[in-house]
This record gives sequence, C-alpha cells and structure tokens, in this order.
Amino acid sequence: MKFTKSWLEEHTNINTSIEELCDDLTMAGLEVDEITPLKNDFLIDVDLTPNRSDCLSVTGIARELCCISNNYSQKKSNAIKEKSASCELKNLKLNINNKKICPRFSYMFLENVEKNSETPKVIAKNLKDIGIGLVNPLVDILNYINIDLGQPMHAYDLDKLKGEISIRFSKSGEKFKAFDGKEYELGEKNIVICDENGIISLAGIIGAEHCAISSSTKNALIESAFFPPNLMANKARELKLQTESSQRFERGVDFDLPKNALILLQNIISKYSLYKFSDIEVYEDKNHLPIPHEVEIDFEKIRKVLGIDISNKEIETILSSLGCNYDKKSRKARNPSYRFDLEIHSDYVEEVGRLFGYDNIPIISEKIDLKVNKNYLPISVTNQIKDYLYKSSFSECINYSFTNEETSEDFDWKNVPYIHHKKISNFMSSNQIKLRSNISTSLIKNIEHNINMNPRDSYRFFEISKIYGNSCENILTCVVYGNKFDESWMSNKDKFDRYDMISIVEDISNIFGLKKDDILYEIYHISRNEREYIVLSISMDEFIEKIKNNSQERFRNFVKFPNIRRDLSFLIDTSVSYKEICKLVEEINVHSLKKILLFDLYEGKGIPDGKKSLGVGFIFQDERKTLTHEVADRNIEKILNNLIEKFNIELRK
Amino acid sequence: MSVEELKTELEKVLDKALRSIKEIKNYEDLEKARVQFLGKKSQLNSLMKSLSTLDGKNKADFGKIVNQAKNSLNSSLEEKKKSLKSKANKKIDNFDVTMPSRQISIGSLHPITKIMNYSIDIFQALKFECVEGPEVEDDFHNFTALNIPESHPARAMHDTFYLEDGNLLRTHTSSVQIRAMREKEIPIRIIAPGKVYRKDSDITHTPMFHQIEGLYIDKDVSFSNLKSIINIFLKSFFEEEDLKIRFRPSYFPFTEPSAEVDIEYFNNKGEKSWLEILGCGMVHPNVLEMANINSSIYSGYAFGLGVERLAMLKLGISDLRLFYENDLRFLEQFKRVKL
Repeated sequence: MKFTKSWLEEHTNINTSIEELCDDLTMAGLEVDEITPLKNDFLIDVDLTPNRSDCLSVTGIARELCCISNNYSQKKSNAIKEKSASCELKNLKLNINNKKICPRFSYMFLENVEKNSETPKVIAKNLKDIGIGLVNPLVDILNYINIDLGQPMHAYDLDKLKGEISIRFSKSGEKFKAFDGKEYELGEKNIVICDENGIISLAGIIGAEHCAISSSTKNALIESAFFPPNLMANKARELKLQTESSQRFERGVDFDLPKNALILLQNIISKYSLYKFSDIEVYEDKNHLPIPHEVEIDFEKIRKVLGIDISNKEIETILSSLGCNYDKKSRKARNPSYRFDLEIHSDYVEEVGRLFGYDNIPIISEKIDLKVNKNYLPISVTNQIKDYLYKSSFSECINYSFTNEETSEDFDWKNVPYIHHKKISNFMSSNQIKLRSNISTSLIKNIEHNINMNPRDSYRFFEISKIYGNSCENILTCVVYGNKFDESWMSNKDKFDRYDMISIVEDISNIFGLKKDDILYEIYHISRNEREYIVLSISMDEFIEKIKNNSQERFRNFVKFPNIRRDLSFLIDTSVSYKEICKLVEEINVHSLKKILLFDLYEGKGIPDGKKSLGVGFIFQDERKTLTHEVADRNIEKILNNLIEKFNIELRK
Repeated sequence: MSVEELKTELEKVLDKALRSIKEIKNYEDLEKARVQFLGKKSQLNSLMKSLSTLDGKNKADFGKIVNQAKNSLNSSLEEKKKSLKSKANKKIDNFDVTMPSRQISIGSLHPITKIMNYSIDIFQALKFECVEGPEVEDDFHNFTALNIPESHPARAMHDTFYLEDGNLLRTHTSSVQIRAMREKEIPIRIIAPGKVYRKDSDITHTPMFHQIEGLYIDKDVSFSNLKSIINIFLKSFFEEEDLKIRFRPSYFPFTEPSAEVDIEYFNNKGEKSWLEILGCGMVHPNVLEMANINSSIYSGYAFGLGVERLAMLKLGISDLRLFYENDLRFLEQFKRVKL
C-alpha cells in the first residue's frame, strides 16, 4: 500500500517526524518497506499483512494511526453528506438471483461525462505521486476514491449497456474481453455482471472493453458494491489479472463503504462542478451481509497470555480506540465493520498486545520440568556419519530435491532403472519437473561443475538427503572420481576403485558397532561423458533401524593364551566370492579358529584365465590352554581339504 | 726461564691451542689435537716440567695457572666434540618438517549442516527435543490444520509446489506441529529442522531452503516466555550478549498474536538497520483444537527460523545461490568441526 504523507495529512494531524511516523506504523504491524523523499513530501510504502485489508486505504491508515498514539488525531472537517441529485435517475433493471454473491449493490448515474476532459489537479497529483497513471477524469476520480477510502468502484458507458443488469456466477469456458484488451477464458464461479448481451464486467476485478468509459462517453453508470471475500479469493490470481480492485475485494472490503464511496464521489463532482449526478440507489440483502462478531472479553486471560500487567480499564480504552462496541455489563465486544478480522478472543489478545507495544512486554523465562534427555537418533547418526566422511576427505553437498527430464535421472538409488517419479504439476522451470530418485546424478553434476571450475586430481563428494522412488527414503550417497590422492610429492597416482568404497562401508558400520553385512548398500560404476564415477549408496532408514536394535557397547573378556597363524595361498575360480570362502570355513566348525584374514589378491599375468590368487591367513587360539602347533596343523589341513573339495582350489608354492 | 717468562709462554701456547681447536672439522683432527695439546709431548706438558725449577710461592702460583689452562683446553675439546656430534646427526637425518602433507586433506561440511547443528545444539541445551516430518505433505498438515483453509488469502503467501498425486512439497516446517501435538504428551517442547519448498526463485529466494520450527505447549505459556526464548537463542547464536532484538506485530494464520523478530544489523558501510530474522507467535486456538488440545487450558508458542538467512549472517555469505552450487571454492571454506 503506497501513499504520501500529504495525502495522509488530509485525514490526520501528524505531530511527529517522518521517521517516527514510519517507526510507529512498523511497530504496530504495518511494516514500512520504503520511504522515498518527494518534493516537500514523502512517499511511504507499507507492506500490509493479509489480515489488515482495513488499511488498504489512506483513511484506514489514518484511522490506525489514531489508535497507536496521541501524536495523531482525526481531522474533523472530513465529514461529508449526501447531496441532492442534479439529474434524473434512469431506470435500471437489476436482477440479482443469488443474493449471496452480491449482498449489497449500490449505483448512481452521471450525465455530461464527455464535457470534462481534465482531472482535478489535487487528485491527479496524489495519484501520480503514488505511481498510478491517469486514464480519464472519471476513472481517475474512481481510482482516487479507491485509494482514499478503500472502496473499488466501476464505471460503465451507460449507452452501451442493454436491458436488464444481472449478477451471476460464470460458466466454465465462458469468454470475456477485458478493457486491458485481452480475452480471458473464465472458470466456474467467477462473479460476473451482465447485460442482455453478455458480460459487462468481471465483478471486483476488471470491466469489459466494449462498455468501458471513453472520451466519447456521455452517460455513465457507477457501480459500488460488496462482493464477499471468500468468493473472490484466488479468482484474480487464477486469471493472472490482479488489480488494485481485486486485491481489495479478495482480502475484504468494509461492507459499509459502497454508499459512502458514492457520496464521496458526489462531493468531489460538486466541488469541481464536473458532471450531473443522480440519487444513490442501494439494493441489498441484509441476511447475507457479514454479521459482527460478539466476543466476551476475558481480561485475566489477556494478561496471562501476553504476560503483562495491564488494567481492565486500559484494555477497555484500547477496545474503544479500535472502534469496537464494548458493553461493560456483558463484557462483550463487537467489532466495527471494517475490522472483520476480529472474530475470536485471541484476535483481541493480539490487538491489546499490539497497541500495548510488543516492546513493552517483559521478558520472562518459562519454568520447565527437566526431563531425561532423549537423543533423536536419525539426526545424531547422520551427523556422526557426516563427521566421519568429512574427516575422510569427503566434501558435503546439498542439492535441490527436484530434477529435470534427463534419462540419467531415471534410476533409483540402487542404480536400477526407475521411471515412476513423483511429478510436480506446477513447476516453474524444466529443472523442477519431478522429485529425484537418486542422489548420484546430482553429485556427478557437482563434480562436472568443479572439473570445469577448479580442476584437480581427486574428487570425493557426498550428500545425505531424502529421495523419492517407490517410497521416500533417506539415502547417503558418496561419489568419487579420479585419483585416490590429491596431487602431492608422494607421486601416488592410483585411481579410485570400488574396493575403496568397501572400506567406507566397513568404517561406517564399525562406528556404530555393526558389520558391513548388516547394512543395505550398493557400490557401482556410472559412466557419464566419458568419465567413470564410483558410487556408494547406503539406506539410512535401514541403517538407523539396525542401530536402534543394536545393544550398547560392553566389555568382553579376551583370551590370554597366545594364538597361532597359518597362511594359505591358492588359486580359485574368480566366480567364488570371498564371502563364500568365509562361509565354508566357518561351517567346518573348527573351534579354535578365531579370525580369517585376506592378505593378498592377485589376478592377471601369470594366473590362468578365470582364476584369481588369494592369500588367506587363519588365526587359531584355544580359550583354555596354549594351543599346540600340532592342533593348528590339523586344523589348517582340515580347512584346506574342504576348500579343495568344494572349490577345487590349487595351492601355490 | 723466569716465572714471568713462563707465564707469557703459557699464554701463547694456550691461545694457539684454543684457536686451532675452533677450526677442527672432524673427530680425527679432534683426537690429534688432544694429543698435540695435552699429550706427553705437548708444550703444556714441557711447561709443566719447568715447575720443578721454581720455588715456593712462584711454584704454587704457576702450578695453578697451568692447571687452569689444562682445564680450559679440556672443556674446549669437549665442546667441540658435542658440536661435531650434533652436526653429524643432522647430516644423517634430513627430515624437513616444513614439507607439505602428502596425505589427502580433510573434506568439508556444508555450511547449512553446520548452522543447522549449531542451532539444534542451542535448542537442545534449552531442553527442546528434536523431531522430523515428511517433506511431501498433504494439504491438511501444511494448510488446513494450520488454520489456512482453502480460500484463505494467506495461501497466496505460500507459493506451493503441487505434485501430480495431489500432495504438495511442504512450504514450511510448521507442518510438523500437528503430528507432534497429536502424538506427544503435554508438555510438548520440540524443534523440527528440515527442507522446505516454495515456488520462488530470484536473488533472494531459492525454490528449496531450510527451516527450524520450534513449538512449546503447556499450561500458562505466555508471549513473554516466547520473547525470552527468542532472546536467548539469538544472543547465543550470534554470541552477542548485547544484541538488539525487536518484536513487531505481524500475521501468520497459525499464530495469534503473531510477531516478526528483527535484529539490529550493521551493513558493510557501517549503517544501522533492522533485519528481519524470524517469525513467531502464540499458537492459534484453532490449531490447538485441530490437534485435539483444549485451548482453554493449554497455550503455547511457536517459531520458525530460516537457516540460510542465519548462515549468511553468521558466516558473512552474501549470495544465497552459493549454497546450492556446490562449488569446492565455496564448500572448502568450511573445514572446521565447529563454527
């Protein structure tokens, strides 16, 4: 809401500086966004909250200032009276079938509209100062009244209207050409005003082109009506047609204003001897007009909720300054028509707090009962993992949850094709078409960005975020690319391989007392733009469940007798996994076997195709006595025979 | 020779010997020098022998001087030995402590994570319990239950991303309030950190950002309690006891009274202004009733913090978009464990 200080002074005496004035407005909840100095004046822009449509007018702001402090007082000279008509009322046939959609409709006729081609100077200046362009004298005056009083009105070229005027809901698909020259296709439930030939205006939003006021208009019909805010809500937004008028109607206009606005119009016309005007006619259905709310004031509750010391009398003074009708006997307050936002007791608590001054409310800490600490596991686990990864040279990224249509996005976190994404129906850009089903694509893009911006030998990125595949899952994804080490004088140029990711899985599970087989993870390659990335993804949800079920760390007694190690180096089919070997050995059930240890893996030169060479250490220990070499030899023999039998291994010399 | 002549001779010998010890560069020469200056055939030794030619007091005097010379030669040789030893050690170990590391360097935590954790720590110290809620929400939890019905003008304040399945991306973490109130027992004292989404994208808005929601429900919770908690949090967060904070009436459908909180801020030109930092208020009775809490018995406060805004102020970041570019030149500035 923009207005000038001088315009405000037409309604209020101001005994403060411009800074104090703006500070008073801000601290009362009418936040001043900007003060622009003009010649001998100031332009003030107030950012109004949606509940305060009563302040969408200079009159409203002036009224509010008088509640705030004694430094502001209403100018008494502003009382205006209805004038007697200077022309005959023409016959207007009005048909409002559904009174709900327009419970109050008032109008007036003007003659000799074409005779005046100049907008009164004061009005023109006020409009120009706040950035509203001049159109023609009549429209300018209506615009002026809209800002000054807060009642949007509309003027029609009377000679272009035909027959009965009706007000109804639009039908879906109905077309309407507005005076901005554009054609709009209406949905259902737009309020439209029609004559015999069709729509003459989109109620409270914009008029039709064919019956708009022009330089040749002789006679005019002026409409000043009340349209309920719940029926106006979102209508202008849906059509992308927000106007000064629609903005007021959808937030709510004081239903007592329509006639007052026409009276003000009469007064302005008389003052500048502009046109001839008729009497004002009002059609209304009181049953559908908003009803004032009666609220019983609980003084104690106001004091308690705000935490302030304020007397009943002070509260009553605030209520009356707000324009409320307060009955001392019943302790009931009734809101004025312009403050229809005051509906329930809390609204009055807020008003008292606001006018008492939030700054004057004391600071008092609550007394709380101390309770046993509850650690929220998902966040504490996530943070411990982040901590580990960052200390292991990974950089944390955060990417947007939505993504584009690229095929690289059509995978889930396990790198399995996935196309049933959650789609966004009202995206703004092609990067927001759907929710991502994996994190790796985002991280690869991050690496690509950094390869372009700051090339280096080694990239390690991770992110922990929710992804949306078949369900919403919390996932940790690590992506690495390039050398294992940054460029340094060590001259180690080893590339990352997938085994590097296994150590991360192992570390992360060990940090929480788990084994890597306990958790759900995937390790895979992704090739993109001729680069090979290595990806590790872990299901955080699954992981946190496992941790929940894992008992806390406890000391276990360890065996004090020495152990004996025996190593086997052998050739085995590449298809046999390390896990299968371990499983077989464990199943043999050698009691003294305490640990299996892989110390060598070799494939390639010197090894037959389809084979790999493994070096495995077996550690034996007896829990009750010192183990003898004979027992260890017998055990390793047994293991060897089983391996030969099951996997056909071949011992290497 | 007279005793005076002997003394002069001794001085000459000593002086020469000390000077040549200084020049020694290795153990071999050091051993040679020991024999040359202190051995049986040394000049010192022959001067010693002259002692017998002296008598009485002269004998005692000169004997003392010769002994002193001997001692000083001995200690000079010892010193040389030590210095040769340390030099020898250095030659063998050429470790250069100033070399750069050949380890891979530590990574970095995203500043949003750091600011989030820093804030959560403060609230946990103030006995708030941490909870989370879904990012994909239904209309009920994001709007209706928060006193924002279908036609409410406040829906226009939230540019919402809708999903084709009818759900939406939550526009604020306030959506967590309802679940917490329905599931937990009073007193409820929670914070809910997380991502939120709005259809907005320009220099000061990103379509995704982070919030921390706070909620406290009990008997007799007042606006002055709300002022207290916000004061403690902001002063702790900015580590500034004298931080100037002001509460300004505002409007949120889910709180009544509602307030916006500004802090005093000095821009890089040193100009003072107020900077909006968070929104808060007393939980609206309609919201309490929606969560089956009797609003005539219980009251509460709620607040919502914008994490990006806090991060920009705390870390001096001027461009919001940097948070989501994931450029290493940005990320790697945040290597510390704590802020």
